[in-house]
Amino acid sequence: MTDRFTGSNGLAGTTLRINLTTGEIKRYPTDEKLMREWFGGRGVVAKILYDEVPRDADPLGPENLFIISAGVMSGCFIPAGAKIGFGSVSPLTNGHGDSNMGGHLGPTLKFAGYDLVIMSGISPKPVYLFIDDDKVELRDASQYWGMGSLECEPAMKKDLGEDFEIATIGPAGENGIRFSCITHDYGRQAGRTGQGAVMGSKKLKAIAVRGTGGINVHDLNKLTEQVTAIIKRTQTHPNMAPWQKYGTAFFIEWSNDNAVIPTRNFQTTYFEDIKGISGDALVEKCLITHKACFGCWMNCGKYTKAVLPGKETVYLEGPEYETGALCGSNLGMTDINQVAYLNWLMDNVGMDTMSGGGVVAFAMECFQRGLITTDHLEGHTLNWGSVEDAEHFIDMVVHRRGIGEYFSGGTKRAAEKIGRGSEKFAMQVKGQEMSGYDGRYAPGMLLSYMTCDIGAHHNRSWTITVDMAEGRDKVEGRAKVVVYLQHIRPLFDCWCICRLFWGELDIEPEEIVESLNHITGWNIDAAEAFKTSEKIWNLVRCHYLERNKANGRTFDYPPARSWEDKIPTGPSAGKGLTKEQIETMLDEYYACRGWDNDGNPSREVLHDLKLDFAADNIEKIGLLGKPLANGIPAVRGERYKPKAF
Amino acid sequence: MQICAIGHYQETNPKKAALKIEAHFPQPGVYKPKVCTQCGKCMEICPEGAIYRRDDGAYIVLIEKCTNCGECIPVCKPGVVFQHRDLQHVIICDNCFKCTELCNTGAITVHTRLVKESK
Amino acid sequence: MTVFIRAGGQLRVRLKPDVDHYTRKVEVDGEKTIGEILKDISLDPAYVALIHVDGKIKDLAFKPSNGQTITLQPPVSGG
Repeated sequence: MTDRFTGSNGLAGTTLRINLTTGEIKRYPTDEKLMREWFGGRGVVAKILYDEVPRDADPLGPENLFIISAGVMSGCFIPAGAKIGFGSVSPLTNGHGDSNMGGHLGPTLKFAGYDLVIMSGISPKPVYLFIDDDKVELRDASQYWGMGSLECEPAMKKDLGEDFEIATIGPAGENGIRFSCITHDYGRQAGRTGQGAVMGSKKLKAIAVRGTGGINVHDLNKLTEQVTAIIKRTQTHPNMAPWQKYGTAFFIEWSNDNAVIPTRNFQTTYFEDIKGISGDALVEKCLITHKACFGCWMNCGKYTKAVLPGKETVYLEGPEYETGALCGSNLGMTDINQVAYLNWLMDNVGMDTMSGGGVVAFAMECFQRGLITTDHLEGHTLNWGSVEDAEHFIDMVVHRRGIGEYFSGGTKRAAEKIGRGSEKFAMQVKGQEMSGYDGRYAPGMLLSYMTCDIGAHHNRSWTITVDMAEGRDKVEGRAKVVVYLQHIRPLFDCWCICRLFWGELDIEPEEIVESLNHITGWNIDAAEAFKTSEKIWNLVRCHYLERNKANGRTFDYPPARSWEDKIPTGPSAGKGLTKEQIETMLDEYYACRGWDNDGNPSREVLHDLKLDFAADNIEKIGLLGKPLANGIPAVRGERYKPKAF
Repeated sequence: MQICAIGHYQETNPKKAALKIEAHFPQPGVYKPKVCTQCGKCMEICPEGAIYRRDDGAYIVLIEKCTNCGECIPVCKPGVVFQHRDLQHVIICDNCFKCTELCNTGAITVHTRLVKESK
Repeated sequence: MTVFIRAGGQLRVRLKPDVDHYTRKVEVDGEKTIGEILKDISLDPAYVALIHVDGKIKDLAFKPSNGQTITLQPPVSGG
């Protein structure tokens, strides 16, 4: 039996460092201090990437790291303790990238004995990471290379055993499509920031883990008592039943009614055919079974089938809200089976359905406007609402054929190649495509996209109901809400538990921190948790500035459609923001954060967060924020409770 | 499965639970929980007499007598007799019902039935 | 007649529960739609993503009967 470091206090005990170029695998005891100071998951990924990846490293090159972090709470007896985090310098945004995933892989990695796996280099041939408790190997993956993710997983389970948890990339990741995802458990993804492309660049096809160990926690009795009470309380919560029945798809119609659903590449925010792609339609026409992640009974996963004339029936998990919006109304699809089919297609090729939906929509608008023609599309059209057109185009992108090459890097790079004003409607920030909400009449949501560390993603901050409560025409006061949410929401990605469970069922942050303390014995409070999250946020910002070498403000703007195009149709017709309002929101945001008006962190804030080393680094390249005229802003630490919550 | 392992072994480790959930994917796409049905076949086959039937109908492993030979495993129709590398005995459900208390969908429930007392 | 309205998450604070942590009892004059009842208690239906009555989805035009429980679901704060 090889060395196995037994963990405690929520940690499994072992960290693996794997050099894919040489095949060397080293084991170390997990650094508890690192986990304590950076909270695991996204936090520890941020620190390791900052410390170890050279600032000029190609994200798809050997110097980039690919990190797997199971987090301190994952696998412990807590609701929704299911997540696993992946991280690397993102090939989409050229900054810190992290993406997390539910299912069962995170807990299983910890049951096998591992908290963290850090991979460098590039394998000379396709491999997969095989972990069976103490046994860790890089195994030949040539028989799986080229397979779709949804085909590869059952093939590997057949070869290795049903009790292995498998995560794979598809041909999109293998071919370096910058918005490729990682897929697990027949339909859970780590979708954003192109983690699948980084795996593919390293010739890493899959991860297969079996674990039979346990996780030691600090106080199991107190944890069990607290969690059992939470379980019983939430079983009868009013939000539980609709969640269990529809997952997140139930509010597709709400988004439409409130005119925030992206429609035909965010050209408008209201889709006339919403009934055909609603949560009801999903349950009535496609549902096979409800699916849960480890330790979660919201079972928001919906395992479904897509049935389209002339096509083989396909099986998938989804579409959940984001895919429903971005591959539904955003592509002009009117039937849930169409959306489900595209969901399956993108899952199988290994493409993030959010960026994928955004890229296809952008291409469809380019076709609509004559910027690309059938000559570019191998004789095909690319019309709204056509599954066949979308499928052919996706194939061109995955295999980088012809104009598919332009789109393989996301909408920002595609727009740079196509030009002719297309940059205006490449709906992305920092290179990552927007989530399924249009922010033109939801200013806090737009600000959330603009200032999100990984591009236009809603995971860090979602403010639509705040915008409704505070006034959708008003931008003042929105920034402090966004800052608060950007501190609390990413904590779940550090601890590797699911925000949806803990955030939607009236569980207070103090209760979550109590669970954390029962698991780890850290004895922290909510204030310290928020401050650590703020520290991670600022480190990631510094990393971004160091890699991209310009004032932060440069990268914090949405595409020009956001202020040039008023919403043309639907309940919010005529509404929209001005450029001045967008500038006002940014000014306010930076002031809340203690950054200067160029969007660069000040030394005062970085010092307060014990990030002096990062302050020194950005100072060297002339990007340290100017001294704060009024000191560190009090609002920075404020626990803002929006009225709508 | 977590509460089962915690209740019996004070450990968060689903591999020490006395039930399992079979996942049948990609098709037909269903989960099948497998639990002890108290059929008694494990007790019948045990060569060491290390399994006895308690008054309430549960089959209990006498840890000191069990040699972990595993003869009871193939005769268990639902496949819920388990071994674990940390243990020197098999794991068999003892009807504590904690799993039924936490199961939110009603997939696992308690059904009472009349049992004859074993003599 | 009397109806009960249940809500959690974002809606709970706006509902002002008075029966238990999630539930408010509302006395209704005559026959009214859910939309009218919500207006009477100053709960903006814009925050309601789904309405459930006896396990079935209803809309704001539905008229509940005496004693029924109307469950209101807010939107997910980012799915």
